[in-house]
Amino acid sequence: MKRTAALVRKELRVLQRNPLVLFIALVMPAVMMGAACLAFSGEMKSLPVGLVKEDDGDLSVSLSERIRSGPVLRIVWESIHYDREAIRKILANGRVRAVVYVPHGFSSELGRRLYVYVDGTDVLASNSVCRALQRIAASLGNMSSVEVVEFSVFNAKSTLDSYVVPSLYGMFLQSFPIMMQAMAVSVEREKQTIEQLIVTPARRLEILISKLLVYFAVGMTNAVSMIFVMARVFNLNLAGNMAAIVVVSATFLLANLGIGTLGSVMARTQLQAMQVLLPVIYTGIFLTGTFYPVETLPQSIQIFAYFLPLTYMNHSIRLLMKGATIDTIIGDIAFLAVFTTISLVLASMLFKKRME
Amino acid sequence: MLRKPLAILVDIWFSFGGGTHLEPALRTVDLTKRFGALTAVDRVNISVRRGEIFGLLGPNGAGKTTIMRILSGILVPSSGTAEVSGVDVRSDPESVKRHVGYVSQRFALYDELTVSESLHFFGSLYNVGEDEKHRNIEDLLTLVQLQSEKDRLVRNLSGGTKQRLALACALVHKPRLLLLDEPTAGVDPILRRVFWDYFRHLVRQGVTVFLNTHYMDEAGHCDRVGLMHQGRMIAVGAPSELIGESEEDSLEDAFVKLITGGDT
Repeated sequence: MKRTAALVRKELRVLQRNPLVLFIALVMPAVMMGAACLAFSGEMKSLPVGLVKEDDGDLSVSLSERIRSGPVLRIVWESIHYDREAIRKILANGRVRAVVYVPHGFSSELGRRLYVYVDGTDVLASNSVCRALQRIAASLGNMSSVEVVEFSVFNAKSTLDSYVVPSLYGMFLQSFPIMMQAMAVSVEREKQTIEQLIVTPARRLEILISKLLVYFAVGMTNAVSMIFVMARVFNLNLAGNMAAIVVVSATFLLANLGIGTLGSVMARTQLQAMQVLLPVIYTGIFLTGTFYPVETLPQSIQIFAYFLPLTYMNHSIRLLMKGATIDTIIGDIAFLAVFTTISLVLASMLFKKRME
Repeated sequence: MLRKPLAILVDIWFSFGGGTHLEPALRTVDLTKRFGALTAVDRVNISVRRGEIFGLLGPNGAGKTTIMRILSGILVPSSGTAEVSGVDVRSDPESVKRHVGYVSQRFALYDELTVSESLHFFGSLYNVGEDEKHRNIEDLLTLVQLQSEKDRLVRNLSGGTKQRLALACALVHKPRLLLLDEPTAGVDPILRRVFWDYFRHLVRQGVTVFLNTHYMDEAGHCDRVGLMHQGRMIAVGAPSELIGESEEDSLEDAFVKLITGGDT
């Protein structure tokens, strides 16, 4: 009993003398839980949609008013002519999650039909749009009911796979490389082999980049095998954009290796590196559009998402699956490249400081 | 007895090869290193000749390791200068690193590499040419008697064998100056003797050995020693001179007398 108490006291002391670890252990779970709740709870809000309104009768006016006043949908694009190609295009470039089409004679006909073109690769958002429209249609309270007819533009079967599988791709391509890189750098400090490296003419950046290259090769092997699983096992439509997927995956992977490097130079041991980086990985999973669209999160939370590479990866891969070409994701690739550069320069500077 | 004349002979031998040997292998002028409020090294002046074995002696925290780290080019002095073969460590640390072999107190090797792979790895970090590297490694394996172990994984080696490999790794680029931070700490007495044989062998080849230790008996093997206390150099000289001046029987007693001013 006395021995156990002594061991417990020692363990508490060790925690107390590692303030960063203690902070993460005590505070992070609650913060993470909050982030996850924000990401998963309740109805989605402010989903961007397009509206094609050919009919200008009373019923369609009140329909569009109700769409505008409700919390779920936000009209960001409007037209008075149905143009199939235009609808396809704004869905493909991700400007809207769905397009609501109110055809001629909607207000006067008896059997009223409201069409909604949804982005079938984004099943969760599509379902939210349809549920919201059904509620609005029912609330119009007219003699005859309004039927909401749904068309899935991409991924005609609207299977969940096409939404979840790319999310998992980004998630795994984030988590494993961050951890592998962080461990590889911090193990040198933990075992003190780093001391022997820095007395040689090898530069600090060379030491960090040599590890990065190895884990880049490992990560790209992971990427290729996951792409194979996505294409063959889940039959996702990736083939037309394979080159773009590989390019964005490579830059995304480098950005994550940058995070891993930065985290590991901040830590003294492998355990500390892991504790510093776990919150980053979790935040990445919940806030970056992995399962829930970024633009529907509260503004104050969205800001975090825009600093995390996974946001850009999720954005790119969803566009690419809808047939977008590489030029539409060039902004994402540029962000990831800048992120990689900054994190490596910071890591290298911090590394120098830490070794003195 | 023969060491000093040998060092002089080596100096003369090198003098035929060029003039650069005339500058000391290592020199510090008012070398100071502060860490915040702590002055770890306080205006230290050392000059070590080529081919000399110079030992820094002093208790833990005297500033010995800090001096080693400055001389190896990984720590920048706060003030004063440190030169290795006439090259300032502050202005050209990369060039200094090429001429220095450093065995740190906690020399850690990669468990996953073999003896021979470890040597090749460090050789490549110093950009040693392939042919030269192979030659050097063969020579070193013979010197530290690891020829028969060269394909064994580091993780399977005994502590003493690892220590010998660590020394070899620091020598693979043929440094002019060998810095040894407590090279014989935790080494059994037999191996310690073997190590001193290696050091003498290296000195005969023109290498300067600069080491620190807190084994007073070991200091007797050095040509000269510097006694350090609280960051300051309190005495420099041949061990016999220091003992003689202090009128004590041993270096240890001389050292204690110098620190306490004789009030023991």
